[in-house]
Amino acid sequence: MKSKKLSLREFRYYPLLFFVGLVLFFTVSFGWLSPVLSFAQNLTLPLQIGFYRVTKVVSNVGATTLEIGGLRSKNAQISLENSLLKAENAKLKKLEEENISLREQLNTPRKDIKIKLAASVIGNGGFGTKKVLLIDKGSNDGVKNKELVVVKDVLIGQVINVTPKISSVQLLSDPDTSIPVVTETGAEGILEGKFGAEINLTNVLQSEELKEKEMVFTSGKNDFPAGLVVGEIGKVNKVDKEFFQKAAVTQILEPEKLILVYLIED
Amino acid sequence: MLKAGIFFILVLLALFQINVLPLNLAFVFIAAFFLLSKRDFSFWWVLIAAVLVGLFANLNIGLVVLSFTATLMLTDILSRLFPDNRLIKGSLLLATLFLSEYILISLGRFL
Repeated sequence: MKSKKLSLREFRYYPLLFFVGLVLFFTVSFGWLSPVLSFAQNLTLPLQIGFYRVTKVVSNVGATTLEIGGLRSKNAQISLENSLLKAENAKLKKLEEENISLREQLNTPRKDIKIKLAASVIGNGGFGTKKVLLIDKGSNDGVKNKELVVVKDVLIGQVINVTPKISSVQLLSDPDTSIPVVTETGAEGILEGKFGAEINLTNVLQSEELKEKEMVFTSGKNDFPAGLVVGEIGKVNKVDKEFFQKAAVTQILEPEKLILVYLIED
Repeated sequence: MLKAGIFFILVLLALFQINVLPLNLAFVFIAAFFLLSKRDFSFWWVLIAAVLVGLFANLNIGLVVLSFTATLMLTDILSRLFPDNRLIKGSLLLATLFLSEYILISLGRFL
């Protein structure tokens, strides 16, 4: 195998690039470049939105073409689910009336989630194992780190990186996600993201009962408001020898398909 | 001129794919260009590519420049050590995929 003597002259750009990288890193970290970033993001945002929309159109066309054979059976299944949901909705309305009446009687204030602002999804900016959604609102719009992102009562993720015009939202499937949750039947556990798009409910005591299709909500601990839907239980993994049991959790909404999301007030 | 055209098409492809695939593939697109174009790249080209990737992925631009430079440097050194071996060059491009991710995450945690 032929080898060539390395000449330092050929690598003259690298030290300079490293130096520029370091300078940029610290200036961006300390926020000194915010006005420049804001200007640059003003220029790149329309292009980014365009890229994202084209991606959605292309993937939708691709998915529709691939799924066309199974559409009829899927349609029948959706009709059935729709009927079931109507029935459930009627039941929930009744329960809500009861709930309001009980609250009035107990004189406890209703803790509704307050929407701070709406944001358009402009991309999936994850790298490697990180699962991130990019939104078109940043520090210029008042977005802060750790704010929660929802669609109705469904938790989508948490803001982890705010720049003047764009923010990154860490999705529930991100491996760094760890949220205290509770199931419909009251079993408490921790929701953790796994590699890939998987989400797991872990640290659930063996004495608790986990059922498939059971809804999972935030429990209200660790600064997360209570009652936000995080998903429904899939396959339960209960091994008697272990101290805790765990289960797969399926998200109700697919974050990659969202167009508009909402940030909620602390 | 042709080289600049190819470079910007690759950068555009890299920015486009950020919505679909992991960010490190963007590095591969651009690293592929540098490795296959006899390596006579300009300082500004690398900087522009890294800044654009950083802006589009909403990452610290400095971090992207650092990891991008480290990735390029390592793949560049290795490709110079084995200049005529296409298999190694191809493998290097694949290695860039993992290398860029590792460097970006490590730098992010270290800094």
